[in-house]
Amino acid sequence: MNVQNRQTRSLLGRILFWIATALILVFFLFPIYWILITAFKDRPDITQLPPRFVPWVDFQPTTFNFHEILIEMEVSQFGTATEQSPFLGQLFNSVIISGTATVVAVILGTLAAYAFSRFRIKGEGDLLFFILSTRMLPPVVTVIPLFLMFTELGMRNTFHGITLLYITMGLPFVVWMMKGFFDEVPHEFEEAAMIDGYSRLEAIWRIVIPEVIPPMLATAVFVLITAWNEFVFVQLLNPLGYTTVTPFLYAVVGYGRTEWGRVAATTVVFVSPIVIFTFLVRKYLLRGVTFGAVRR
Amino acid sequence: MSSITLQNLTKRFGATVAVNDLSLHIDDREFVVVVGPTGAGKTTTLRCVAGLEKPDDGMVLFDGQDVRSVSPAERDVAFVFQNYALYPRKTAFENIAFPLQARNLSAAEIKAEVERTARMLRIHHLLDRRPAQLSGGEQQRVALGRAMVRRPRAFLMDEPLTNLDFQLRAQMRSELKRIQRELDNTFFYVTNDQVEALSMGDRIAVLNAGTLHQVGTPQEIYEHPADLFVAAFIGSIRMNFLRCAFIADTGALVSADGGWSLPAPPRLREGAQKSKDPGQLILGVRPEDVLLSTEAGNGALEGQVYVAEPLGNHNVYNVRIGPALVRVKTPATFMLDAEARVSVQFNMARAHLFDSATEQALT
Ligand SMILES: Nc1ncnc2c1ncn2[C@@H]1O[C@H](COP(=O)(O)OP(=O)(O)OP(=O)(O)O)[C@@H](O)[C@H]1O
Ligand SMILES: [Mg+2]
Repeated sequence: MNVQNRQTRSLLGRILFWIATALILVFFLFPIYWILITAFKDRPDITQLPPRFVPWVDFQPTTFNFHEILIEMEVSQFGTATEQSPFLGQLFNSVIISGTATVVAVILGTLAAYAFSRFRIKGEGDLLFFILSTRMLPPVVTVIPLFLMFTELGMRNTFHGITLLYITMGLPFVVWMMKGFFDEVPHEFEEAAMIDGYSRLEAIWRIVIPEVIPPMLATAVFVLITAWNEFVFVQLLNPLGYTTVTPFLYAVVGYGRTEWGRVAATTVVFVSPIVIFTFLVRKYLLRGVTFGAVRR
Repeated sequence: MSSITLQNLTKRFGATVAVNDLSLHIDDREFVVVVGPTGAGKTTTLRCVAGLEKPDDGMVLFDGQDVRSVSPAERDVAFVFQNYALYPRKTAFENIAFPLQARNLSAAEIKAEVERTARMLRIHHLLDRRPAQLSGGEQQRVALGRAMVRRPRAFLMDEPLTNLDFQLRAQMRSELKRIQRELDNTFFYVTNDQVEALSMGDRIAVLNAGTLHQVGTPQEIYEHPADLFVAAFIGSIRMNFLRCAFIADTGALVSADGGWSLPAPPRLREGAQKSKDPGQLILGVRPEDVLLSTEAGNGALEGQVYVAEPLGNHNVYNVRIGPALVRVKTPATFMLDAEARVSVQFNMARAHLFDSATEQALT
């Protein structure tokens, strides 16, 4: 086979590769694009058939929906009465509750995972299985017992109640993931540091943690997304205080008729922080997911 | 600069006894090599000394002081790990500087010390590289540098040369000896390579399956192996072991298969009489203590060359004597064809006798 032939073939291969990539991207990104433009449409534009997809050509973008959910929204059908939107408050709750839960779960889970990875622990297998088993029931099954517990302990509609719950939900994941990642780091690393004059905690902090930062960030993203997306428990346990964004999204769907503009705008604001965060740590995410494959 | 004493050290991992009742004393500034095959418990022993492993029984003493409750950081020993354990995110400089940073030295002092060490190991041109950008031999030097940069009370080295190629290993053997003289410190060195042990150790301790078999100078270990294991393990070509019986009436050693009979010199005769069962002995002869000749000699055994291995500076022949195979080392100039008929003579003055039941040396 001559050189030119091979080059043409690889050019053809590249073109096919890009076409395939483009098709896949369109398939996955189009719904998101649709939501995004819907958030900027007026009520009449939203219900147009066939739908309009090109801003400034097909329709005139407006920030009306965002004004509604962020500041005040019409409550009657005739646009006469308005009330202040609770959205920003709930968004703030989402941020501090998911944020706190993620940070605490990652720190505690990482410490536990380190112990499981490095020390001989009695009944290690059983303990690890027990930790995992807390995630085996479908969450809905635990709603009623948790509701009773929270009522009894006065933890409904509180910050610490729902945050503790999210920590509990995130911990098993962190412990299992991080144990796997610690197992990949040779124990001689921190032992060398300990012999070099550092305490075990210093050795972990200065030598081991830097090795597992990428997978740790990946784990944190997953925990954050779980807490951020959680709906059932917060709807039931925190309807009157420290409510997060997910119940708002549910409420904004409206009764009788669906306010698609508000739904779309809420969705855009709801998804953005996660997308931005994931985008920022994306290079760690890829390395985190492939951690075992690229080392050694 | 301390002496190290192990007293009845025992370490178990579940059912495995990694180190079994090990007692060993290392003098201040002595170079002791523990040698043994894989799984012998060498690493475990070193880890107990460093405080990384807690002994199940027995204790470790530095200068006669029990260090049971002393943390690894406070034991102030330097450890070169079998896999080097260089910090992957730090450059060679930062790796070597790391032990000093724990000791509150100024940046200028640290820089001076690191550079002094790097010059000694001839790695000063590599200091800004990360471990992944270094060859195995260079990594090994950086690992040594991290150990040498401070003045610990002892150096613990776990097979530091095992991952190097043959030539580099030979070169590093003499480097390490030079470094030890320069540092004038206690070295506790572990290896599975008996050549390293013989060439580097002031004294050698032979370890197998957690049990100490013999401690002595290289010469003692080589000339007077205490048992079958040591005899077989030490020596670049394995010692020949021939089953035989001692006949008291004639003072002769007779092979178990009846193929040969040799008069035993007084030393072997005395040894044989020490055995509970002189009918079940093992004669040990090193390949260099066997003499081959193409002419029939007085009292020589008859053999036939089975396999010939020319090795450049010497040859090794496997010679069949009756049903037994005997390894013989000859000068490179001594050429024989396969199948050649030869006469074989053992240098009985340098032969060893072992009791086949206890496996202990009798001579
Ligand atoms: N952490 C551990 N858990 C269980 N068994 C272990 C552990 N460490 C060592 N062992 C066992 O103890 C025995 C001695 O191991 P050790 O690592 O000390 O051998 P070694 O002489 O250093 O061998 P090598 O030359 O292969 O490094 C082996 O049988 C090994 O399987
Ligand atoms: Mg070892």
